[in-house]
Amino acid sequence: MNQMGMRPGIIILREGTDSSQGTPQLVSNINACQAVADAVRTTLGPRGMDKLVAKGNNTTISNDGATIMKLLEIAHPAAKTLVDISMSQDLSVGDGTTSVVLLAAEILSKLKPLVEEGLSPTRMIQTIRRTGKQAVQKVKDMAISPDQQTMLLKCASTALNSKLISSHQDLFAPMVVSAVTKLHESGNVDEIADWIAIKQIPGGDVRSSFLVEGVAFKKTFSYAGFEQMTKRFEKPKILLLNVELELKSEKENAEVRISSPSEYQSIVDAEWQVIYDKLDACVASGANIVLSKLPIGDLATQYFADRGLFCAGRVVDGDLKRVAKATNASIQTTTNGLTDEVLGTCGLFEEKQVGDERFNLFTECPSTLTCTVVLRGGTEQFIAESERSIHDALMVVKRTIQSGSVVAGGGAVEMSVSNFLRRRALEIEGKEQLIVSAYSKALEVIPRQLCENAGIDATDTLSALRRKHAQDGDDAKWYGVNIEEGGITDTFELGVWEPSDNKMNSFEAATEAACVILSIDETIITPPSQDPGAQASGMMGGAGGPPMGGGGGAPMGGMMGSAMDIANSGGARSGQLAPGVSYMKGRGGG
Amino acid sequence: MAQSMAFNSAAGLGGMLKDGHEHYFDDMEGGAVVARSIAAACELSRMLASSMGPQGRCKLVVNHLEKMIVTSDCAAILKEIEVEHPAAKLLEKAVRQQETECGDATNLCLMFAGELLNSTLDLMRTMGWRHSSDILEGYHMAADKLLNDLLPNTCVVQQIGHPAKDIEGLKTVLKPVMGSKQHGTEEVLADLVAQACQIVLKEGLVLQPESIRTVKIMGGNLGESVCIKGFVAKRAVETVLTSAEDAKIAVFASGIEASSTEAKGTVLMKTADDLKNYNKTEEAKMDEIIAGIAQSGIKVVVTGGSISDMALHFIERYKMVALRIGSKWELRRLCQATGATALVRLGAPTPDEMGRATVTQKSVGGTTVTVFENDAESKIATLVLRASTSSVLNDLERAVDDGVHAVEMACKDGRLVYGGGAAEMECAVHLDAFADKHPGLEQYAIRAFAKSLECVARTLAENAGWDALQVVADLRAAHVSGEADKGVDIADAPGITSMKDSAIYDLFKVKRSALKLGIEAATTVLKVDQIIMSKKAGAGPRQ
Repeated sequence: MNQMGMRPGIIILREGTDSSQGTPQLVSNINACQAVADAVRTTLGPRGMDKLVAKGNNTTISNDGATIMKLLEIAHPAAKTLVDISMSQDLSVGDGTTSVVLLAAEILSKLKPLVEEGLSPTRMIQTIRRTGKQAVQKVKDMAISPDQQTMLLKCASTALNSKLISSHQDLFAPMVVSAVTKLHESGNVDEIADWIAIKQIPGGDVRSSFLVEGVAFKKTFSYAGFEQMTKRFEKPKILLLNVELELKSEKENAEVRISSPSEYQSIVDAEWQVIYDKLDACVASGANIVLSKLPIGDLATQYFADRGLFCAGRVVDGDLKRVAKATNASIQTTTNGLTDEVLGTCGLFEEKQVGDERFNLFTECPSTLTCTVVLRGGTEQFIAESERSIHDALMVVKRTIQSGSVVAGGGAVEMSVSNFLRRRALEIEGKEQLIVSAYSKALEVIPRQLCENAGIDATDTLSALRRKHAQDGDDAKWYGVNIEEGGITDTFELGVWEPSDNKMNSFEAATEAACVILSIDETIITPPSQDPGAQASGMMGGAGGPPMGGGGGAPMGGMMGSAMDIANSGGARSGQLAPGVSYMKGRGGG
Repeated sequence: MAQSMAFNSAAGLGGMLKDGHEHYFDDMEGGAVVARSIAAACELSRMLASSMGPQGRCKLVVNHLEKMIVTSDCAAILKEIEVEHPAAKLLEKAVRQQETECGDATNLCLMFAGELLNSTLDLMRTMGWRHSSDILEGYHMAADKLLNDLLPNTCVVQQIGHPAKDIEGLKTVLKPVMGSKQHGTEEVLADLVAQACQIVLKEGLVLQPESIRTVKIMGGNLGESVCIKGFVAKRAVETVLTSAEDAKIAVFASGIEASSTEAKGTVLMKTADDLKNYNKTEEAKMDEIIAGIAQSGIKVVVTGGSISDMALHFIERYKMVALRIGSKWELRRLCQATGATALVRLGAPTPDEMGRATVTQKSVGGTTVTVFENDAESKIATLVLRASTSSVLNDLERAVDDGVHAVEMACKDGRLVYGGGAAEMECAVHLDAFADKHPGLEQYAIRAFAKSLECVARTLAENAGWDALQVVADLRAAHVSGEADKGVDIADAPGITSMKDSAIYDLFKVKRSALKLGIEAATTVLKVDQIIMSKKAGAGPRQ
């Protein structure tokens, strides 16, 4: 068949272009979002289960919504929006990435019957946007600011509670809080990733993880002479270099031409002289410890060892910067003109054995704003997940410091807002009432999921919660799910606190995502272009298998359509995932 | 001529052209070419009609690079969906033209063209597929009347001053533009764009759209977006020092590093001393350069290239801030914002070549940005947009872009007409009266033309979820009885309302251009009686 076909009146877009529109299209988009939410649903809360995602040779075990969503490579264009909001939640808050996805999907699924009944989506968008604002305002009104230290500790515990290392929160929560507080005092709390390092050492017990108030890094590759070096200094002077201390040619394109053999020795001497000059300069500066980003060779190591100095080459950039920050040293690119100003100092330097690794520790630094968390644990995956959990906790504490106010978790704040909106809904006339009550009902997904994951009867608990909130109003505003014992309780009393910013951001993001999905009335998919360059970049999305696969035989029933059919039938979830992704759930998989 | 040949035999035209060509003419099965062209064009405009206006819905487009776009911006959609049909392409071209000229009202242009073609189809059916020249003649008369008489004389209801002075006027223009892209957030957006325009606009001059930049940062919500007087670079500074108050700035287009020769060279050393001093001289040279820059009072160094470790070392030593900006465009904008001149040689700038700004590094939603704020005259304003998904963010950027273009147009011509379908309905009513006085077949054409103008009100009402027929009827009645300010009420309840009270105005110049381009595209489609397409180069299936 020709490119244009025989009936030019019908085909106006490129062949293979797939478009779907109207209510069925919207419903299928909503279904796709639900399917995505289903994939992360069970990870919510302290009793949430972890997911194992195998990708190539990498295995990741995670409980973090954003991490899972990132690894799933979701191909459905509308469902990608949910990945976006979970990322944005991760970026701006760092935690609550699962709940934001659940919330968005639930808002949509509660609105689905209304869509099917033919309510105008534009009305819905307007109403839920307004309702979302009210919900955020309500959270703002409810939030309280207790004593900072307790607030931070409780928030950190709550954040860690839902993670793999929840049983060790008594160890990690104070660690995280003290790390962030230090950083905050110096006003650098925004650069949390730069200044708080998390080091993993596989092996040993989780409980033997510790916090270094200062910098710690693994002993670098050592050269001959290393063993003779002093491994402990009190109040050492520290010199940081970006210089290679090794015997080598000064410049690649330099060439030496000599006219007589006698000069040969002088050239060799000169080369040695150059490196000795550098080493002398280092020693003359009065430094006790020399660290360099670049290698420090055998000669230099031996030279320093003889003179009672400690040195380490090939220190990772980030570690070196942290040392600079902690000790007030500045990194030098030359050994000429070293002054006392460029040297840093700290209270104590030592090399310590941790597990089967040796660690260099710099503690009691003058500006102790950088901290290092050293994590121990059984397996690589376990430590990796612990690191993510610590990171989330760090972000949560940071957020708490910034927002200065908290709300109670455990579904309490959602129930309060839901209760508030339900009352508001009853005052509204017309169809908007339905929309607002759908929104208020959607918020209940958080407590319900918490119950389900904890194996508590969700229906009973939810109705008890609803009743409590409806009857006692503001007096019962902190009533949420009691995960430990079942039933309902004042979660604020229980110490389940979350920063209010976290909740506000997730309400905002979920509302916005729902609006985006609702506002789409047509999906048009142009087939990937045929030139090889574009194909390569197309691999990232992978919307429909081989580039021309969908367009070849049946232009209309192409890739998108089939994915949507699957979503419609509510069957295999693989419809939302990239081709070739298999999905197993529960015990029966195999 | 060609037609008669085609009639003669199958071998006629087909025999003359290269294999693989396609030829469509009037006697083919399935109706006249013009009818089928119209059908294709209408299809396109119908597809996008649901995206019209504040209540318009978005389209989700996945383009050939598998990039996902969610927008209700007509020009943006058309750009991505690859229209193939030649007649529909004519409409697309008109839309593109409107986008480059005015930056807004693109959907009006497409929709009106589609509607006009649709009316023509009805008209030709009743007239028995003849008299197409009479129809065209009628359209020309109607267009002439509309564009040169009705719009400028009857519809223009207000005139705003130059946006640099008339802030209220500026917001009046911006709100409906923003509202039609991002309904519900127009207040915030309009305020932001108005602020930005205030910074860069000079009285009596036309706004340069490039002078308002946007920086998109994911996370947060629109309410956290801010307007910054100056420049924002989306990366962190290189140095330990991160801020400088009211600092002198040197901008280097080249990298800050020891210059190497283009030709391959080898350093030749003769004696041991050469070897010893080689590195020292290089160091000393860099020290000298950086010291020279520092001595001229420079506190911030910005470069388009890389900074060598050695240079960075000395920059740190002389307590300066260094920033790298990869893009040439960004660097040029920075120069505009700070008043600096980009230098190609490494060395201290003269006082005129220096820029001035307060530099700070901030963290916004997990992204580190460097802000150059300039309290004095800044030629650049930057809007930092926040939203929780990338598709919303991109759509916000498009909305800002449209808003900025609207301000640009307002600088050129501040005349306003009523929005919300009011101006079109007023013109339709007047054109009907004009048609009544006109004898001959043209009368039908003019009337069909007038009827097509109603499509604006109808689509707005449809998209808002109202009973469109009723709204249009009410609106027509209102306009006939002289209430020229009545338009479709899309916000509150089904029906019509005064556009004057709701302060919904469109720019006259934008509207005129959209209608004009729409009419031109439609009449071009109508003039076509044959479509001949030669074989596509390379793309066709190979046997």
